[in-house]
Amino acid sequence: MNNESIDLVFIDDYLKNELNNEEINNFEERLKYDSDFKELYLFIKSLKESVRKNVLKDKISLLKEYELSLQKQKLNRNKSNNLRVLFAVSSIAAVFLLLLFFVPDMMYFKNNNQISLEHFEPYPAHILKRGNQDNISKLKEKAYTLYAIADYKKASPLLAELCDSGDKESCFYAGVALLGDGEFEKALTFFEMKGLNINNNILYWYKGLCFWNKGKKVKAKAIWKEIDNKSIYKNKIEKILNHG
Amino acid sequence: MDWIKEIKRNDNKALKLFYKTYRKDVLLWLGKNYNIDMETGADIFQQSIVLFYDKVIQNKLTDENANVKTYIYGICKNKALTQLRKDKKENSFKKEYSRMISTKENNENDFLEKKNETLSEALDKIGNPCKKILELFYYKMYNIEEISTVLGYKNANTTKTQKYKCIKRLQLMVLAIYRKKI
Repeated sequence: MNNESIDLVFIDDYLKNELNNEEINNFEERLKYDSDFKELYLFIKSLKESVRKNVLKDKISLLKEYELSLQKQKLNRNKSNNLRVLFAVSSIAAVFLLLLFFVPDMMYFKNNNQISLEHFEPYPAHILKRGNQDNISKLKEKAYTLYAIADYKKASPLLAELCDSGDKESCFYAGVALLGDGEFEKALTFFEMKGLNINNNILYWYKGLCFWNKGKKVKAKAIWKEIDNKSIYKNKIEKILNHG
Repeated sequence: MDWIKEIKRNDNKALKLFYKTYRKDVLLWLGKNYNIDMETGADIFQQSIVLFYDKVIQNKLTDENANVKTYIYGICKNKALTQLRKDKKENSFKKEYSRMISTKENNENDFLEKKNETLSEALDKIGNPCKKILELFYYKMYNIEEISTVLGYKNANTTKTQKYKCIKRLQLMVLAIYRKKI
């Protein structure tokens, strides 16, 4: 051990209060006359304070970095929360879009029926001569009155009865009444009867409506194709088809 | 949790845990009572913890006399009031002027301050194991035997020699940095 390292131990012990009174006196005396010793002492004294400051500075840096990492974590948490919100919003939007796509389609399907029934117009009925007292005339009067007030449910069996009795014209009206009542299958049986004595365009129109409402659109279109281009029904058909 | 023991034992890990445990409450408390924003609050809280750490390491705070939470809130309160006074001062032109005058008077201390800055710079640059040895010996007050155990030196003499070499190296570095500055 050289002299300087011995001095260093002496200084350390002094700074740590580990010297007895005599040693302290010797130490303080030496400071007065030994400039090298004093210089070393001042250096160690400064070093002690500098080490302390440096450690505390490091601890501040550590906590600052830690604060930053906590903020970063918080940001990431917020980010993932935002992502969750974004996901929820996107899901809702997706459901909404799906509804937007499907509901009109469903509406369309609903509307399709409505379009057909909206376009269903009862074929004008007979102008009945009142006062006839025979049963057929009474039945006819009743049937066509019900038909005229669009009570197809009640009108259709009466018209069917008239049809059975040989009144071919009533067969057609029975079909129209059944169509108006939503009984498409039954209506078709009347429209397909032979010798109905009704314009084919009219017949095709009502037959087509029956198939359209049954959901057999291809069949309906095929029937409607038979209608003359000049017929008023062509426009109606076009409207239905364009809408679909 | 016995924070004092924990800090002495685990140092950085314990400090982080301590920071995280009280951070939210302290920052809210500083904001509510002293109208201090989160950023300044975080600075005050960090400084307070380091002050607390310093007391713990230097054995100026013992398990018996400390309710750690109350102690930290106390330091934060003092620092917050100092900060508010500082803000007030900075807003006053008169005070600012007198501060400029006193700065002139304090120039004598600049020499000492620069000397300490140089030493601090050298300490930053010296690296381990010197930095650790000096830290353990001069700050944490470990004796040579304890340092030998912690840092894995053969015996106390090896550690003593190593410490002496570190101080010599540091003196040379201080000289070099000081010369560079001049």
